Amino acid sequence: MLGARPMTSRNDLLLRVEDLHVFFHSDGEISRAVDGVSYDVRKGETVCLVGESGCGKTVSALAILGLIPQPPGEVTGERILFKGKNLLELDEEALQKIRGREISMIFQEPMTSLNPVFTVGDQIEEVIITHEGVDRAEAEQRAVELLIDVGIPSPEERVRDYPHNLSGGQRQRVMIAMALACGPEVVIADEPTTALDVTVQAQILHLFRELQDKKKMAVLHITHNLGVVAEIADRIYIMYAGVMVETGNGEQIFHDPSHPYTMGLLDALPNRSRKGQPLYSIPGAVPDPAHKPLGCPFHPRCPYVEESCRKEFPEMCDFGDRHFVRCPIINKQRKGS
Amino acid sequence: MLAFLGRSLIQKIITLFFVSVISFLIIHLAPGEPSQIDPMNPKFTQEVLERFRKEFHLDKPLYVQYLYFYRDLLTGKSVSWKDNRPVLVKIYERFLNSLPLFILGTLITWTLSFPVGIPAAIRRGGVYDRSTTFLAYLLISIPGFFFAYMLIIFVVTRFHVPVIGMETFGVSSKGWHFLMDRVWHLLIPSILGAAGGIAVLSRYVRNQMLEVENQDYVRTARAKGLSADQVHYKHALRNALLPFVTMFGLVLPGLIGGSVIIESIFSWPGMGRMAYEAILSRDYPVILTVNFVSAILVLIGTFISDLLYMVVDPRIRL
Amino acid sequence: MMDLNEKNISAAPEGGVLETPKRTLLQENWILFRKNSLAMAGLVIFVLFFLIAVAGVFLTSGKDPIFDPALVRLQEKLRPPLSKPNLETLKPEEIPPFGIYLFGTDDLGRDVFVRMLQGSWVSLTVGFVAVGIAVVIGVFLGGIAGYYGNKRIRLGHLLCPIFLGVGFAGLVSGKTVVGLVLLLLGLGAGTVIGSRGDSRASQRVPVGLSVLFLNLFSVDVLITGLVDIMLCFPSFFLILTVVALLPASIYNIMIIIGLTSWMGATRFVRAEFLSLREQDFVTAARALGLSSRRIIFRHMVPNAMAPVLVSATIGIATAILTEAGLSFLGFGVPPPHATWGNILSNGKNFIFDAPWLTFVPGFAILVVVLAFNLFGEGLRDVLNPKLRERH
Repeated sequence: MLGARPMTSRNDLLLRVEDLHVFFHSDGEISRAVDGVSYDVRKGETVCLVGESGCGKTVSALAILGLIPQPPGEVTGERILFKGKNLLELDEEALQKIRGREISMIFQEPMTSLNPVFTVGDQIEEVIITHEGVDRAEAEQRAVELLIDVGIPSPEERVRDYPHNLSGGQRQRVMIAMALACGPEVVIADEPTTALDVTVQAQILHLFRELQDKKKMAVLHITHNLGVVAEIADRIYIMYAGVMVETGNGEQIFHDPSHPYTMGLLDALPNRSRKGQPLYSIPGAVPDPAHKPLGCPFHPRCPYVEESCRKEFPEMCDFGDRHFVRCPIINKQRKGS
Repeated sequence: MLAFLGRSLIQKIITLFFVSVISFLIIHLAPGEPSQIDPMNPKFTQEVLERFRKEFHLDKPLYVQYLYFYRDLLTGKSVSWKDNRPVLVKIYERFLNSLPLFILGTLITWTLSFPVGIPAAIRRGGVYDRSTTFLAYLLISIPGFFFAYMLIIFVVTRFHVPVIGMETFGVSSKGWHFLMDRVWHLLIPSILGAAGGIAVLSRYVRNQMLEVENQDYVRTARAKGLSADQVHYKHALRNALLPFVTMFGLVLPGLIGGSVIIESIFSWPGMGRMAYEAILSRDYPVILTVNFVSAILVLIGTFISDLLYMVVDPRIRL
Repeated sequence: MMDLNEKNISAAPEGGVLETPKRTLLQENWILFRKNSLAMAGLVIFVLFFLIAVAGVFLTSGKDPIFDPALVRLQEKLRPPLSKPNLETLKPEEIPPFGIYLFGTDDLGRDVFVRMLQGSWVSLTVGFVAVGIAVVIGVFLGGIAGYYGNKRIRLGHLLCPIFLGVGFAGLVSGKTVVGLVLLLLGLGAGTVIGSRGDSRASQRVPVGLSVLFLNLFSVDVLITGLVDIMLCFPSFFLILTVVALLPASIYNIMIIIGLTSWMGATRFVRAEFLSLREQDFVTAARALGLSSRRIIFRHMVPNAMAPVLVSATIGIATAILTEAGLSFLGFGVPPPHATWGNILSNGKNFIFDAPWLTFVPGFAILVVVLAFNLFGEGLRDVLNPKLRERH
């Protein structure tokens, strides 16, 4: 269940985001959606980027593909390394060659993410033709094969359907087919199942797993659903208010959550052993990205808060075995000081 | 699909019927009779007035007049009370005059509005967007005849472009020279008519384009690695154009409606002016016929709109 | 890594989280609107125009106005703007305000500035009254079509007003007996329908009367049919026809423009109501037992007003232009009352000798109409979230 994979060497590193910042300027205010975030994605890995709505996870993914409009947005950072190139330095043309071909993205809303005036076949073929220059007939052939891969019945007929003829689950499968069409090495899936029924959710996740194994892709899975994370993650990154607060593998995060926020998230999950007791929720609210507190962004809601938390932005602490936690207080506690 | 069209057709015929009744009522219920104009003329005595009334059925009750009128209309026999010529002939002549003005104006409007509006949306807030916006507002707000006079003064004193009537007196009525003269005369009135149209339509184009550019599927198109041209002109534009295809059907009624003022200023003998003169002289047959024709144009226009909409939007395949 | 704290110096107090100030929807919209400088300019000009119009009506109306717009001074005709009056030929009460002819004089020596003042009130009221009428009709009809759209109209519903109307007309025109009979029939039909609202009850009614319960068509079809009919008339043409046939007066013009431009508002309101009706807050209101009237007026109308407001401001601009157009063709407000349209129209006869007679009112109309259009577009940008910038 907790996707345990053998430790791979650094050579398998596909995508490395280093110290990414994304700000939005409006009304004279600066909204710090992503505030110094770093994460890695290795070949074939499933990386989960976890956090509540508004914590910046989607924005960071869009920034990887250069999809943040740059006014009013502002994307800066050390670098975004992909197969040796720094994506932050590439121009629009170069980025277009990467999008859809080497890095693909699947969005959250299947109902509105497909163009209503083109058939689904057209839209899938478009990616193939654009990136690989094959002719119409071959593209259509491949589109049908892709539809089979993603589990859509009667694909030869579905290929000529318009998006409004398909259900939500089917549309999401089409999106997946589109994303996989050119065999990308990284697929970014932004809450792909949030808008779907639970049963369909399970099917889609299963599909993802199958395809990953078959095509050897890495998946950057963005979600706020801890249940999904537990099922599929090789590596987990937990974000809060635009900042990475804890990273680790499934075992570490679920059995040894060490950042107060992570602990709070897990405590908030309904648990059969606490039947009859009121559900726990983390007191307070997520800060407005334009008005974040000084020091640690979580300190106003933290039960372990100390004076230093209010003044200094905390560093990432190494808990060993690639388990990192951005909380010196807990760090002190654990290491016994 | 045919059922829908069939129902739509029947609805339109019913509407046409009501329009004919209402326009008839409006004219006849208003104070003053057409023969009131004639008493000004010293040639008309009381007996002549009576005969006049009898001949045009003005002494019969309203619904009889209605029947008489529309019978004459549909058989082409109705006659203008001003100059005794068949109404349909008069309309047809003026129609031929108005047509080139209308076609040229519409052509200019629809071909220029899109290149003006679309780049403004793509580069929203930029210099191009702000300047076209300002110009568009200016053109929308200026009173038509004011703008016309400014234009006339400027153009006549600098460039000697003709601004009166359809053709120069004395020019031969055939051949290349004739054609050039006609086009020359058409120029300023059409540009005037088109200017306002471009201002309004290009704003609408811009707003539609903006709305579409914000949609999720445009973001998907970008994420697929498509070029900027493909994203804007293939994915976004195709959706943004949908409402305009249907709007195009509604251009038809403009043939009669739009141009009373322009025709007055330029002394263009078109349908607008004929209608205006008919109103002044209470020439009922002409007024009612023009109204009827206009209603037919509107209904045909909406019908074409509906048809085009079904063809163009895959979500509406009935 | 840069010092993130620098950028947030103005942010939260130590240990606390800055609460974003709570704003009402109106305040939020106002703040957004303020940022659109063109729209703000439109608003400012509108306020100025309003003040000038009010001042104008004070200063120029009545039997013995402070500034008399109808004062003829033939010896001073066609003087250019900012020219000094010839004081020897004028009586003291004929001297123009500020001692000069601010905008010149027309062909009868009347002060254009004073006439413009008088005309500003006309332009203002024409705009507001016409659009006011159109909006009231539009919201009413559109709301009914949108909310009650599916209610069927029965034969009895129609016959009752028809009988009443014809009967009344009969009485008035002297055919007493027929009129009375029809009136009674109408009243009768009305009571029968009124007392038995639903179709179940109709089964207990004698066969002859049950024909009154025949369903004809729905309310929505009736109202959209009405809109379609009105749309078949080319609007300027219709206004022209009616204005030419009725005695010329400013009230007639305002009312006619209003009565011929309600179709747009009706369609907007109907469309909004149709979509609002399906929304959860309406179902919730019904579940709480609120009456239909309360739901419509207190909950749905405020939500449906956005497109109406926008089209209303632009409608005012159009009404002002229409009045000017009518004056141009000779159908405007009768002389000697000045309107910007008739000053402009009068001036076209002197366009080369006295261009200010066309320029001044033309420019004024342009500025005011432009202001309204900008204001309306600014409103539209603020009220339509789909046109906002996307983060």
